[in-house]
Amino acid sequence: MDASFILIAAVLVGLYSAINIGANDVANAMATSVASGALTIKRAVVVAGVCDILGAVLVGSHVANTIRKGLIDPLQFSDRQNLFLFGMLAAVLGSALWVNIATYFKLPVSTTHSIIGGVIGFGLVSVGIAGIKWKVVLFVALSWIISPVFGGIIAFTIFSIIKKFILSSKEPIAQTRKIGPFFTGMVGFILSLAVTFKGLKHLHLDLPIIEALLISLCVGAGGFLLGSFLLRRYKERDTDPYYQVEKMANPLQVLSAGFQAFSHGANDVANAIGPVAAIVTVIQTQKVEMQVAIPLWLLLLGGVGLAFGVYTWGYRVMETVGEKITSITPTRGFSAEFGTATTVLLCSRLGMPVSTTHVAVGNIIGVGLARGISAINLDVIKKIFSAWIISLPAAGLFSIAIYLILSILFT
Amino acid sequence: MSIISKLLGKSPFEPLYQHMLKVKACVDLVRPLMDVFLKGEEEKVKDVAKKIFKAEHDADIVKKDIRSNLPKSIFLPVARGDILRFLKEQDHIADSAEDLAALLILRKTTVPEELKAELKDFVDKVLETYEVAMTVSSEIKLLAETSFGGEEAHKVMELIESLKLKEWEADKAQMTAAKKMFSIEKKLDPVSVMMWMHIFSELGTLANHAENAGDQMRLMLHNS
Repeated sequence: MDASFILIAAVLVGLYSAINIGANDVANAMATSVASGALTIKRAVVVAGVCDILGAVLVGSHVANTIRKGLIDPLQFSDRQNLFLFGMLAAVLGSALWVNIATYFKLPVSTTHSIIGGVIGFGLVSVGIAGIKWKVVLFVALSWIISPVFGGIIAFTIFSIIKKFILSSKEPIAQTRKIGPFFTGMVGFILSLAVTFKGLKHLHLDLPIIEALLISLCVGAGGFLLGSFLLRRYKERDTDPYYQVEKMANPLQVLSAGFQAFSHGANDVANAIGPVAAIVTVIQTQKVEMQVAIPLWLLLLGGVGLAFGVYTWGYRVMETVGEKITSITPTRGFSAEFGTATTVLLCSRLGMPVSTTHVAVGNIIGVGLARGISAINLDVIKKIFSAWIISLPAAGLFSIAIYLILSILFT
Repeated sequence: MSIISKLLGKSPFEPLYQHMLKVKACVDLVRPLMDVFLKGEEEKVKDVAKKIFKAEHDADIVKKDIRSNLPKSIFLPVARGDILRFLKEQDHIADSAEDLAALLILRKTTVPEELKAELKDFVDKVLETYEVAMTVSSEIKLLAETSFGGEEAHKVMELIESLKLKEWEADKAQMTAAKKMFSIEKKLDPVSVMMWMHIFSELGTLANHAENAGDQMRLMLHNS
């Protein structure tokens, strides 16, 4: 089969997958902001779209690399490149199929788990059990358990700080002005560090730790000043101070929502373009190469796909989400989103493909444990758990089937 | 479907606030009820009593709605049992108003001139207790907003303390009124004496439930 045909097919399926991810996941990422009234749906869509593209382009390569060459060593295919191409196409097609079927049956599946299942699936039949890097697989599986817990701890801590220093104080409004800027500063610092420290070589953003730290401190200080400016602009009213604190927390939550969308782009773009990146690099270099960087246009394409999904279908998903949730306010939303974004971004930098939605669930429970949320339905956790247990083998089977069909037809 | 929207449940605190409003709409009628009762206007007593029955039923509907929206798998910032017991006590306040209204229309009981001052004072004290309890309940949304701790909880705690004092004053007023009633027992027929004991007891119960609601609210507060 012609290699360029495989490339076009892979790019199309990857793009389709990106649009799907954008439509479904971003609604989850922005749900708390829309529900708390910090963002209108229109603004949420714009913020999410822009930040998703930025995250995908600036930090998206790390996780894409894990999917491209972390789970299965491509060098095993150096004498049969075509099989590798078929395999990666099968992985992205199989996981896209599975996610579509699961969505049809209203199962809360994660594209992350599906794509990992897809890659492992074709690996099992092409190079066998020994050909898969089980250590990496184990780390990835562990990260699925650790990331929601880790995020939950961050969210718990952030909300506890808000509770202790703002909500429990005698002057909640003055305290918000004092404490708030530290949060915006932290967002700036973390974002900047994730982008600049050994970041994208294309954009010359790969700074050593000291320089990256210095720049990030400056960005953090900028965030502090911005937060301070926004909170000072707020004019006090005669209503209850706690409601006013929530009003003041609105810009903080817009910021954290953008932060979360950025992290989502950074991590989840790989689910769509990771296998495509593997195919592109093989075809471009005409050999199975380990050291080639992921082309920037591919990250951009994935990012635009995510944004397109948000603009078109995600709008509708968000509408239903926004109407249904009533029990979350901006201070809670900020805590949950900050924890989610930080965790997902950290995992992205470590090359760990994690599920943004599951991390978000962990964070909301974290805020709940700090007595921040009026009602959480715990039976949802069971559904999530069973959905991800079933995703790995299901997506794997789809991937295997497509791989076998392709290799029988074209070899 | 978004998993996040399934995860976040319906807050019980807004409905609890709505229940408080319904209870208030019911028990606020106790003053007009006692006013027309003291004046001996039988027809008007019946009218107000009817309104009380209707308002009590409205509160019941909200109560049932809250209960059915609190399954065991729901995770709340305060213990589920505390919320349900608080709801029960708050609802009992309206129940007492209903029972009182029923007593007054069950049989025509006239208020002897000698008893009027004491009865008025007793009703005042009972309704003062009830009003503090309603102020405590009306803070529920703000308490949820501040995670049931901090300055807001402190404020509510002080209200609950004053509730104890109010209820004690209502008890004293009940004693005084009962004593007065027995001091003129020769003038009253035995059935009237029995009715008065019931009416006093029902008014006292209303104040007790108001105090209990406050105590249940106290269990939800955290000293952090």
